[in-house]
Parts: sequence; structure tokens; C-alpha cells
Amino acid sequence: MHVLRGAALSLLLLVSGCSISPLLQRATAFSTAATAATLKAQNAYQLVEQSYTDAQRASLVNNFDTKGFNTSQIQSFMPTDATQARTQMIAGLQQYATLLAEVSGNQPVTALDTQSEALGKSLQSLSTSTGLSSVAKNANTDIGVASAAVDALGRMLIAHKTAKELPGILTQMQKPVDDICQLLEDDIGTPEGGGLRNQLKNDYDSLIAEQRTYIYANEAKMTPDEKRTEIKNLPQLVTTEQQDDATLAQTQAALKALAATNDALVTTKNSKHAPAFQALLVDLVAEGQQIGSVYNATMSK
Amino acid sequence: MSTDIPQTRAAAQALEDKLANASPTNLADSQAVSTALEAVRAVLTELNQEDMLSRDGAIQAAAAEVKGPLQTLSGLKDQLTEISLRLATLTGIVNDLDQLATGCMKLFGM
Repeated sequence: MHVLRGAALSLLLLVSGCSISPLLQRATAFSTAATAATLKAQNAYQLVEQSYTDAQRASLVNNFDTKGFNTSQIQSFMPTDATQARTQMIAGLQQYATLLAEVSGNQPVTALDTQSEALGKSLQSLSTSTGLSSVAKNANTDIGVASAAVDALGRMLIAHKTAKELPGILTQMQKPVDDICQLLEDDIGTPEGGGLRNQLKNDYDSLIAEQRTYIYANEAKMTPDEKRTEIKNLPQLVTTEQQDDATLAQTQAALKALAATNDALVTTKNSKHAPAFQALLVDLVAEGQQIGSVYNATMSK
Repeated sequence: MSTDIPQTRAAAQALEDKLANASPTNLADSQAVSTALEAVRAVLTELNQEDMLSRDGAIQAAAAEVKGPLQTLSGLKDQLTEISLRLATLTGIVNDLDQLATGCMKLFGM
């Protein structure tokens, strides 16, 4: 909590300083918070994939005697091309945040330009890929909207910008950033209604049912200790599911905060003071910290 | 068709929830519930893509994917009905199975 307050205070101090233009300061503060949140969001996807793989392996071991093994039984939670699309979009948002910091600093940084250009090109390729179609399908989003947003972000990252262009960059990128964040939020979905969280719930329901069936099928051959261990796996699966769902939900909240803070940044282009932006910035920092906490809790399981 | 998808999806999710909350106490019941859950999950995967299903050709492709799982559920109907007499959480499962089957037949033109 102290760390959170400290980070928020540092950002607010940065925003309220007066030697640089207020918009440049706000863009820099947004960049710092958005970079932290997106970095943790990327880790969250990897974490959920890993814990799902672990649970699925346990299920395969349990069912080997009755179902045997074939390669089709090994399936990742998220198809590889869709995972890459999600990761690239988050990386694009992260690079956009870096770009804002770069132009706000008013100094050309060649290494960052090269990185930005490479990512921009990969986003342009992504805009017509099956991976993006897969994510749009999962999110029930029009592929045209998703494709246009990703392409616009890619183009912006390729172009080399300077500080005086910051207001224009913010205006141009408001809709693409909103659309990408919304796409990723809808893709994560809800446990009841669809998206990754619903898939996670239904997948874990099946894994738990299979674990229970394994116990009944083999209990006669188990020692009391072996049976105890297998029974203990049932609540462990429930806990893992809850932690994975919390990680996805927190990522969703961070993306929502990122879009809202970016929107607020755009509307304060001509303002000296921006209290609404500052409040949203604190929320964004908090959401980034929260993903970190959930991530750390899940890693220590 | 646009109204059929959310209704059929809701029926599938309700059935999934009911099966996930069942607490079978012997191997045969547990196997039936596990198999049914797997089949409903496969149907839900197709129904979750509502936007895509409204496009040309998508319905036929989805119909092919749900055919096997629906047959599995149909084959388990008697056993699940019998289990529901012992497990209160499965009460009304016949209606849930029928709702899903009817919704899917209408939606996928089976």
C-alpha cells in the first residue's frame, strides 16, 4: 500500500511540476503508468497459460489408464496465433506509451525508434492475420474494427514524431487505443458470459470432474495417504482456477483504466490543470500494482 | 436467428453449471457427468462465437462441430435422468438437455 501511494505521489508530483508544458508532463506520467500496467498484463496471459497447462498435464496422467495418450489431448488454453496477437497488441500499447515519453522528452532516441518501427511493422502484419481474427472472434468483435485499430497503431509507431506533434498523436490514437483495449477486455470476457474467463471456468469444471472420476476409478487400489493426496488436488484445482480468473479480471481492469486515462489525457490537451486525468492516473497505477499482486500470489502457489 | 444464439447459449451454460455443481458419489455417475460436461463444453465453444455465426457458411461449419457432442448428450440422457433422482443438484436436467437440443437443432438446421 505504501509503495502504491509512493508511486502515485511521484506521478502526481511529476504531473504538477511547472518547468515543462503540462501536457508533456502528463504524457510522461501516463507513459510510466501505462508501461508498468501493460508489462504486467503480458505476464498475466503467460501465467494463466502455464497454470492451465499444468492442470491439463495432471488430468492426462489421471486418465492415462482409461483414455491412453494422443497428441490431440495436449491443447494450450489459448491457441498460439491468438496468444501472439494478444501479446503483440499489449506490446503495441506499451510501445505507444514509450513513444509518448519519447516525444515528450523532445529528444530523438534512435534505439527506441528502431524498436518502435519494428513493432509497428509487426502490428501491420498482425492486422490481417488469423491470430487477430481469432481474438476478434473470441471477443465477438467486428474484425474490421480490430484490424483498423491495430493497423493505425502500427502506422503511428513507424512514423518518427517530435514533441510538437504530441497533441496530434493523442487525437489520432484515441480511437485505436480505445478499440484495442475494448477488444482485449471483451476477449477476456466474464465467467458466465463468454471470452477467456468463461473458457477458463468451463475448462476447470471439466478438469475437476475428471479428477473426481479418477479418484473413484482408482480408490480401491490407493493407500489412505495416496487417496488423501488425490482428494487434496480437488480444492487445489478450485484455488488455481480462482487465482487464474482473478489474474484475467485484473488485467481487464488495467486495460479499462489505461483506455480511460488515455481518453482523459486527450481531453486535457489544452488544459493547464487536469484533476480528472490525475485521478484516473492514480487508478491506472493502482490497477498495475494489483495485477502485480495477483501475479505474485499465483506464482507463489 | 440472432435471438436463438443467446437463448441456446444460455441453455448450454445453464446445463454446464448444473453438471459442474453436481456431486456424484460413485464411479459410474462421475463418468457420466464428466462425459456430459466435456460435450457441453464443446457445444459452448461454438455458441460463444455469436458474431461469427451470423456470417455465411459459419453455421454449417459449427453444425458439424456440435453434431458429435449433441449425440453424446442424447446418449447420456437416460443415465443422467436416473442420476438426477439421487442428486438434487441435477433436478430438471432432462428439460435442460431438451432445451439445448431443440435450440441447437433450430439454430444449426439439424
